[in-house]
Amino acid sequence: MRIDQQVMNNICVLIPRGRIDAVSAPIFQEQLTTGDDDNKVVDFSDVEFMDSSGLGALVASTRRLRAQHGDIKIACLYDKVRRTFELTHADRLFDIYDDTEAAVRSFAPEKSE
Amino acid sequence: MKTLLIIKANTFAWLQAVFPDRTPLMASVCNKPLMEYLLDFAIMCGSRHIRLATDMSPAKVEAVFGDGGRWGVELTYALIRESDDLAAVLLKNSRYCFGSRLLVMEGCFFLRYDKQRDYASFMKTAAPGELMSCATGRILIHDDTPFQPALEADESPPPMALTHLQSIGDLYRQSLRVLEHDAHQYVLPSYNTEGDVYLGRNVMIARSARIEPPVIIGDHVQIHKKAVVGPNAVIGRNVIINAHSQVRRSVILDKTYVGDHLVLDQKMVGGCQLVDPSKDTMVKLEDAHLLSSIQILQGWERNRFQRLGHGALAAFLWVCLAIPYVVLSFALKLRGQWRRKEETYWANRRGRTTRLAGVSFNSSGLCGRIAARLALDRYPLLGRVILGDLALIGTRLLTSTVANRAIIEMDASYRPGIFNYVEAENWPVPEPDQDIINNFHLARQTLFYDLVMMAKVFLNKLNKETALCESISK
Amino acid sequence: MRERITLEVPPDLQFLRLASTAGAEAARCTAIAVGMEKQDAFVHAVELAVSEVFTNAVKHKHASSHAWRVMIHFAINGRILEVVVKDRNRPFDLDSAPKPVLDTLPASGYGLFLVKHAMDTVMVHREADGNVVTMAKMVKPEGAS
Repeated sequence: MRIDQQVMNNICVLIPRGRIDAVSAPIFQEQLTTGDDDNKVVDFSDVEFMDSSGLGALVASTRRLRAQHGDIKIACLYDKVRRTFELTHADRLFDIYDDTEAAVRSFAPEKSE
Repeated sequence: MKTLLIIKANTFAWLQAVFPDRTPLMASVCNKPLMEYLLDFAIMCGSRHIRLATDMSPAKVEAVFGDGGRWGVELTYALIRESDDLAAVLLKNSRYCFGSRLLVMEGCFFLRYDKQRDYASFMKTAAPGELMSCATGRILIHDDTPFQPALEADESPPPMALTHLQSIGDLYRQSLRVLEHDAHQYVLPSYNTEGDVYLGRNVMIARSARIEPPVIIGDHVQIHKKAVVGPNAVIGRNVIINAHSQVRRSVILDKTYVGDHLVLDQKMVGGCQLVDPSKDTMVKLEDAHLLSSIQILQGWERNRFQRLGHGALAAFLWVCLAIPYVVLSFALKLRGQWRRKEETYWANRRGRTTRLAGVSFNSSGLCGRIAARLALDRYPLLGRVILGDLALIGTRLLTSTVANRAIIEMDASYRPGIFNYVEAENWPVPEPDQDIINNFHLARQTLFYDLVMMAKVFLNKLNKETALCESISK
Repeated sequence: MRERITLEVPPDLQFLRLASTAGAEAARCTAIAVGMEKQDAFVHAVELAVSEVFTNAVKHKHASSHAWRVMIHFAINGRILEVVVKDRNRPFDLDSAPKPVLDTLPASGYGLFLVKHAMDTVMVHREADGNVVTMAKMVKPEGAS
């Protein structure tokens, strides 16, 4: 799995590509928790599959960032990965956006035009 | 024009409090999910894209509605949180909403409209903002595009009314209102409609039962002998109404068993919960013979799987009882207490018969008593269960007489077994009640259930002396 | 359609994708064989369950004197797909895995929970020094509740 990074409006956007499973979850978690940004957006548009390992990495990272008063927001969660969220009710814990820019904007609503 | 449906769990708290096992998103009026009424209206307003945004799992909705292909629309799903207000929901669905005129339906309500009128034109030109609201929901127009003022304001807006839904009584009243007055405005789910009677698929109605319109009956419903359904009855899917019961001005939710000789008048019933909508009181009935929920068999548990399961259990019994059978049959034959007999029985409801070679014996004396407790009179029939001809446990085996044929035709279920469920009951059941008991258990049966019932049968036999000799011949 | 497909996969995470996509394809074959092509939820559920069970088998790999393989067996019986996964690990109890309390944001514990909710039936029993996880799921037509 490859993870691309972008910065939009000073918010770090991670774009994992491929499968997030027991093989790639450790890399995913590392990318989520390194760096100075406590606010991150994860764009799932190019994720073809995620199991509990990926979800665990996401949840662990979110817990860590929220303890530092940051957050992780989810963008472009399509059907397949959405169902993994639903089955575990993880959708109750995350703000999920259908657009990456909207997720970025949600971090600083007062700054948007 | 696109539509956004916003449905949150807290608007259905009243439903969950009474029927916690039922999915709020699939709450129905007249057997049609509320969501489908909203879908129909959205399509009437010219929407070809509809999104459901909810904080509940949409899996069950998705299983029924899929991607909206059956309605000719694209239906998508979005996950929101309970705390999200309208602005937050719109932001979370900004890609969907961007650049479109949006019809937003938010909350929990029933929408009445006149399907002869043109809602699509009205929605194209109505000013953005709230169109109407009630205590539990609202409909509004959200528009990112430059607003086009209505070019002709000569027509009054087409009629629309929102009715709040915030109690079981509201749901009950809406169901009966639609059935009695507004059925023509909506496409109610039915496979076969005659006048004011809407019937689903696989509905079995005993010949002596009576249906008094208006009535709507869902799929996979059994109505047993001399039951009366209607007038003004909404019967959900997978419901059994047992003999002599009456259901009028009532709503029976999916997967409910209504026992025999019950009168339900102005009630709403689901599983073992009985609601009086006029007083908003609720009673949970503990006697499962009166009212209970039905566990729906997965289709694959029937037939082959069931037959294999019963066959395997029969094979196990055949092995365990082989030595006692050989020894005790020899002993009883020596004493002249052993008789072979052959009889023809109705094998199924469709009229097939089967000839069974059974035995009967006198259960006096030590050998007779032991043989009775081990149910050895059924032993020769275990082979038929292993071959898959008969169930191990089911309803009573009825001999192939004309009178019994009439009984089978009058009743809606007959699945004979070499043991029957009455034998698993903890108390002697008078003969008139035996069919009711057997039907009750048959409605709830699964392979595991049958295994438990068989264990109870043998426990009963080992604990009490029972006369087994006549067990097959009745 | 009645078909049996068996894979013997070394207990190594580098074969995780192979195992779970095999599950997805077996599910797709099941759905197509009964004429239901759009069954994404069914296919995804099977892929997820196989991924979880195989991951578990690898992560709890018990060192053995013999090199062993994870046996993954797919049985297509009409509308039902049965998946059997056999390992050589120590016993585990399906019911002992508690439901994760998501509000506390636990980092793990979702795997078995996901399997139980993704598949229609899940059972575990012991056989020849290993665990046998048997799961089944039925293709349901759209519109069936």
